[in-house]
Amino acid sequence: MFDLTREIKIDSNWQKEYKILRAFIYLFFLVGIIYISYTMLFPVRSFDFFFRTVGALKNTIISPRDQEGSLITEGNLTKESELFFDTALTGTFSKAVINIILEDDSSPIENGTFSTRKSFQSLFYPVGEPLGFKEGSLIKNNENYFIISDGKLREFYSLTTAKDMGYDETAFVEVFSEELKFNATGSIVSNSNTYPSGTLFRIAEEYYQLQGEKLHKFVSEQAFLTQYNSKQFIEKDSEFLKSFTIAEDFIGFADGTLLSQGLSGFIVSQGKIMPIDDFSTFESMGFTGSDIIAASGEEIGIYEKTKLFTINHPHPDGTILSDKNIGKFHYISNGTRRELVGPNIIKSYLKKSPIIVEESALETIEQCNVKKRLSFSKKYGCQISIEKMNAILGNDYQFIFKNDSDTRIKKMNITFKKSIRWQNLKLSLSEIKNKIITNYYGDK
Amino acid sequence: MAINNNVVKIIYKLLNEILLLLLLAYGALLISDGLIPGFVTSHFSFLKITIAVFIALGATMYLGKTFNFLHADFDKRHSKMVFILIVLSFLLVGNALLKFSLPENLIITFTTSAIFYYFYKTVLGDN
Repeated sequence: MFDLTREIKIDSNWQKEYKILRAFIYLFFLVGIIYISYTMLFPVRSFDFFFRTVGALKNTIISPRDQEGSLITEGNLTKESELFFDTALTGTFSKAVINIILEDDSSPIENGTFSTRKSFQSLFYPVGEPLGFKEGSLIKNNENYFIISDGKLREFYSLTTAKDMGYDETAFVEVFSEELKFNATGSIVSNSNTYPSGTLFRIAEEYYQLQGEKLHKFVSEQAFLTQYNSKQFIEKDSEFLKSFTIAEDFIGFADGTLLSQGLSGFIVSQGKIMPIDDFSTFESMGFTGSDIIAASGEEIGIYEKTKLFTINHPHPDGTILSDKNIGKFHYISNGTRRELVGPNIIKSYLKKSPIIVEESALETIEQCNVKKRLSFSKKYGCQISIEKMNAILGNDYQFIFKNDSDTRIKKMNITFKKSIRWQNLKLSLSEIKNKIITNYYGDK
Repeated sequence: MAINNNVVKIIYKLLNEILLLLLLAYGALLISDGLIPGFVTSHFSFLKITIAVFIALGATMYLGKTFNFLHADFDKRHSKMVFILIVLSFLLVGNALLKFSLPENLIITFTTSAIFYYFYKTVLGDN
């Protein structure tokens, strides 16, 4: 073996000790390499929640809450309640080891169980009322012509009325009768001098929408096209602007639009813009790189910048989910999933790739029974195998804890682990390869 | 005295081995993190290994100076290790520059080259 310090000679009767110690050092280094490789190829991810300090940054478990959605702040859980919480992560894992520590004065856990399922947080939302056509949509059915105005279905007295107002006949999309029932019925548009709310205009190459009594301007053509197509506006000249008050605020991009400015990525929702923290979050959310729109400073400037969008966040309002197996579409709105029933309703909203989800995954549930870790301790736990869930689309594991006694929880911990198996090693190496490719060639 | 002298020599030689192994590990981790940014740092803190390197280096230098083990005849200009380190440094810097635009790359490359040249002249030069 090579000697780095050849010039320093040790007496011959000390050579044996030197060689033994040297061998130990190399053995220790080898063990270190094996340990580092093991940690990287079979990573462990750990999440905690401390109920005594619910606002602390060290809490990485998302929103412990009861079945009504109320946050559990003091760790108090009655026997009638179920504890829901989430952990967001990427990668493939074999098992989730769950530990729960009760307060000293808490009753013990009786018949406790943990169950888990995997998807996106937004897919776990309850299903709300189906959504009708988008505001401002121009539709027709059996020679009847309609506009969606203030969310309501308003019929034009006749096609002539619509044409007199400047609407292009070809702009009206033929829809199914069944699709009309999802918008409430509004009054008939009979006065060709009064434009209904929701009407779109193009005046001197700029786009406007009538909302109530005011004309709201789109910040750019690009923003307009994320919401409507190019046939839906009425062309007017500058004189037309004198008939209305121009609103001060601009209309921006459609909710759920992905924007970029320089190297930063953003997502738009409800008049606000959220910077996306990194590419891993972007990818794990199911977003598509080709949907990103390069925005100017002016386009970004109309929005209020809010907190960073991380993997712990659900998809924001305006996101459209599409089930890959049954082809259903849902629109995320105010903590609910509202189904878009009908191909034309879907088209009125869908101007970019939806997030692909698997609703059937909601039925794939794994469970474990909670046991005490040590006789006299307040620590309980169990282990759930999540190997079957690796193929399910999503970045969130939702957990539910139930038990038959009133308890006070001090702390929870969930550790995701990979079993040491040839298949998991191949998966890890494949993930590493994909990360290298993504780093140098981007998302394909 | 002979026993102590041999013990010190053994410790010094082993410290050199430990320092080399730590530097090899450090280099490998740097390259890995360069290939996949954040992959290594999400599992390990570079601070710990940096501290270990400095402790090993400090101990080696202390023993070397105290017991006069250090030699001044190291040929910096023709050392393969120095050459390898310089090439590795350029590769790491180059890898980090891939995401910059061409004008930014030119400015950074020029500035870095100037710094390396000054370093070469000052540290590795005759004086």
